[in-house]
Amino acid sequence: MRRVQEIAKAHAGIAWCLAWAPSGRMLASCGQDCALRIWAPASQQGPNDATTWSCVASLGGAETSILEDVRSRDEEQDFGDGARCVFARTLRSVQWHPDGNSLALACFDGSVVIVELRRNVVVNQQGRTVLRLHVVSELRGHDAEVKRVAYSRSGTLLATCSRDKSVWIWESALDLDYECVAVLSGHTADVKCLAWHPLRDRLLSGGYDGSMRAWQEDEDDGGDFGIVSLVAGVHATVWDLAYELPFVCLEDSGRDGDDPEHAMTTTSQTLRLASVGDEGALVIWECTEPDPLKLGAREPSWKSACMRAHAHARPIFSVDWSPAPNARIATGGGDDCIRIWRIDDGNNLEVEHEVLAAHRGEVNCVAWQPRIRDAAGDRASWSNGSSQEERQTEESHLLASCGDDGSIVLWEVAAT
Amino acid sequence: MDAATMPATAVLDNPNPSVKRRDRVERQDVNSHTDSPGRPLTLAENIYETIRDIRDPEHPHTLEELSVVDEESVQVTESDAAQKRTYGVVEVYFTPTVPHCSLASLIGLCIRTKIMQLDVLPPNYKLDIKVVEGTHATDRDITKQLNDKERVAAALENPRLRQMVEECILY
Amino acid sequence: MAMDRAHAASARLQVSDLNDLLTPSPSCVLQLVPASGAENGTGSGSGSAPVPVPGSFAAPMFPTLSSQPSGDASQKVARIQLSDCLSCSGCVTSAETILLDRQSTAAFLELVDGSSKRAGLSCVALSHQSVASFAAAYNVSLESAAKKLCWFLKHSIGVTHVVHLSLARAVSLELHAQELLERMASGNSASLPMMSGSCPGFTVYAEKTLEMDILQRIAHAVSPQAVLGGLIAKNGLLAKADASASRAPRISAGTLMQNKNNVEIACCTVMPCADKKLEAVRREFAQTPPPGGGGSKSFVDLVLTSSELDELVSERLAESSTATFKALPECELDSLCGEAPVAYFAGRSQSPSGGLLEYVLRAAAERLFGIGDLHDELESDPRIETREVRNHDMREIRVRDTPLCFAYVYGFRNIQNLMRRIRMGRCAYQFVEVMSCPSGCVNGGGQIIREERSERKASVELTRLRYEEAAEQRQCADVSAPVALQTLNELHAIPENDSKWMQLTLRPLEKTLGSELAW
Repeated sequence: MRRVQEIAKAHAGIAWCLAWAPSGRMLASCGQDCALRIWAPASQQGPNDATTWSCVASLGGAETSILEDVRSRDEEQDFGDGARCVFARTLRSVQWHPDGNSLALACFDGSVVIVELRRNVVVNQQGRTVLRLHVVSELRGHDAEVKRVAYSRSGTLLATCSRDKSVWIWESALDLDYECVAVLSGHTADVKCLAWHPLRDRLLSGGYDGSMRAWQEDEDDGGDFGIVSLVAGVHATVWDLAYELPFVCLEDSGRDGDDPEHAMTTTSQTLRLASVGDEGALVIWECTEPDPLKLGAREPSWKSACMRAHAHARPIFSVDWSPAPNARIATGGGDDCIRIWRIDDGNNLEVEHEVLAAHRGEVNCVAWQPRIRDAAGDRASWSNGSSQEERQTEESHLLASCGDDGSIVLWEVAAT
Repeated sequence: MDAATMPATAVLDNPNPSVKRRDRVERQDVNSHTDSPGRPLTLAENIYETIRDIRDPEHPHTLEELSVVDEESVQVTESDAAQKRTYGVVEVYFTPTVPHCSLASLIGLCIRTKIMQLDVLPPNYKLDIKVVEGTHATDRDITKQLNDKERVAAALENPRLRQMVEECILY
Repeated sequence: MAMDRAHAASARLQVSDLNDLLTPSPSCVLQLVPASGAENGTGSGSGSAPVPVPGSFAAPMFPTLSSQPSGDASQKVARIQLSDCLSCSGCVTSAETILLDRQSTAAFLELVDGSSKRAGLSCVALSHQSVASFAAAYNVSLESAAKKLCWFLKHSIGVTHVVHLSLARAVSLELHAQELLERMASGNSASLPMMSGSCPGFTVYAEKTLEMDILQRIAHAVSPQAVLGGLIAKNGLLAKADASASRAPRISAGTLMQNKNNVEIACCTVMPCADKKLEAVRREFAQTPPPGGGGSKSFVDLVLTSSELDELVSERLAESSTATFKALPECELDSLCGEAPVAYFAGRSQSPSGGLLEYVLRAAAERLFGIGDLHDELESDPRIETREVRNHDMREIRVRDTPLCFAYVYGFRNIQNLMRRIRMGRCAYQFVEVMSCPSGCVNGGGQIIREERSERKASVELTRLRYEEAAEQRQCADVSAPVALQTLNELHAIPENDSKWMQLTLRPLEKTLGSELAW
């Protein structure tokens, strides 16, 4: 596991969240400085011919030295309208719409903000596309800080959760307008994290009350979302949840009109899920779908497949599955440490890599780069022919992390 | 909560706290007698010096005067390479004046904020604020809330809460 | 507990309860020493603690936060009433406990008992949805359920009068219609769409969260419960009865009069919704406190939910160990104001929440466009166009060839979408019937429900069917409408009843310290 690049002071104060664009060619980050920033690789013809990632667009927050650097290097860079004072409070979470054209942001002021990414407005002499970020919609309704946003795989549903104990589901329309389709109450405290099932419109939420709840549309009940299963008492606080991406899902991802039901029949009925908690535990769950032939069986069953009670010495704030067929799990936490886990044949969790002082402070988010797709079929394409792409192989993967020190680190993780 | 008991608790959690009279000069004298002059304060001492004169949100007294904290409240665990621990941990234990004090979480927030604000915590140390177990009806809940970094970060962005905390710190 | 089962409206209250700890919020905790003392840093500790008054919250606030002068401020004992607590999301959970306590079945029995001991009167008004809930739960007809409840309340509990909400509802509907026409005539687009404010779940939510721009679109016209309370308490409809003469005095029909004798009338309602308890303690719906202090008395003293009354019925039936609800005798309900007793459920209503939209639509069509002959089954009239917007709980009703376009918006999520549309200026409705429960009031959180999920759905459906029996007695509507108009005219004619006889006035609640300090 090699530190490829460190972007120091990517955010002033805490860097809370990272999100890879579906294409894998851009990275979004947000933090305590109320800023959203987009990072992309710029191939430099330097001595090492290394790919370096730099800020290509920013919204909100104060101007930082990083932006000044970028601006002086590329004078025609446009940082979008109203780059200052857009957000008054911490931006806690950012997620890309699966089409790669917009992002959702969770803000501590109780709002959810939809930001559109506009390209090709101006092409400067170097032939680079200029990006602009525009706030196109603000979703109000939560009573307290919004902690997380999550798009369903199709992008039609956006889930948000908050300290107000509720989870909201919004449906997106073509014009980036959103309508509320459900307000889910049940959690008895702060809801911290969300994860959509990779194949179904089923949402998982977890939080301060230590419970994980699965929500799904109930066809018998007029299509309203309701709770379908609940697991509690494993973690003190559930900080993060991540589904393993089934391989079949990767193969056809990005194609329009792919059919989740079809995908479901071609893959196993069991999916793995990782949860991490305040007490430092990492738990791997096997979620089995109910047999569709069995009448009345609606609830997926959960089985704890394996766990590490002290995966980290302090709370674990983030967990993510790598997209490869032989999935690995990255965790980052309050002990400043990042670990890469592998599940062996005996269903044991083994540490494959670890970096003890990965950041000069707690690690808030770890995120694997998605597989880089063929540029032709990729609407979200940022730059063509990046050397990053060539280095991306089955054996190694890029992992991004961010932490309390405000920095973003890119890691190359080799398979052992 | 039983509705009938509410008015009583709502008036004042602890109308007559016992107050320990101490002032800074006296304490410094003690220090100078026992130690060689000019000895730099240890981390624990430094942290304690920082928090002892935080004002209680409910009373015009300091946390030290109300025995919410004392010298034993601060415990430091150094980093340990053998244990793969790259950081040290500072734990601050406090005792709410009465077991149902509704402002205990605010006191904890003040302690955390003042330590962070005055930069007395070296960069590679973690800070845990804890209610002494058994001294509050909901000690575990408050301890959990005080060590939830996300909630603390959000709380300190709340202008009203921030103002209250500042007033207790600047006493 | 009833509140736990409550639907969206009460879920709202749960949502706003942000503290983890069920202790009184800090703003309700007294500061011992006035601000000046703290500034001096003397810390004498001699600040005098105000004397708590039993049953009241000592009012307090941190002097550092409210810039009120110190001194006598700390000496004063302020009362915080239940309504204050409910408007503060700081410790809603505790307030709910008190609320349930003060409007419980035990408190109800006490109220009725105390009232009769002081030779006062007691009146219980049955809502349509509650009666439908009983009819569905015990498989009896709507009329029979009402009469059995009447007998039970009079003979088993000792209530002197049992009425139905028909007349009050008719008055409420007419108030809404008149207000909408006024708003439309004023040409002020910021007052449209007018939203109904008779759902307390919605109004509580609105005051806590919505901006003035939206609040001013909520109707000032009051709900049937408020009309009933006002009629009885303020205008003393029952006052003509001779309280000392007999156990069940006869009421003279016809004209309103003032309750000059100040006969004590305990007024209760039976409602499908626990949040009606919140409405009952609103300031607008209380007697102005007499000069020289004293608490203001709410027009409606106590609200029971259908399920609470059902518990009471079951309890008493169990004691008698013989009867079932079905076997209870029946007796005729009292008349509030001379309206025909047969008109239990008058009102042409297709709507599960009281027929508000339909009445206002008919009134607007007739009075503005001369379309007075809309089909009894509104939606079968060719001039009516209905459209489901997102789901069954959000529907548009349009009158063809007119600009009239109204909407039903039920359930919290649809309310969110309505608010979004209004904020974006994309809402062209004139009137919106807003109810916070999905499926409207028949599905209220206070209804008699079965625990089992599947049975619960069936129970709601059955209640709705029972409720719609009312629509079959359509001829009765014409009995009560004129009485309502007459009642309204008489109300306006009484000099003391100025135009502000009773108005729902919503204003954004300032965030209280309690809610602001929650983290």
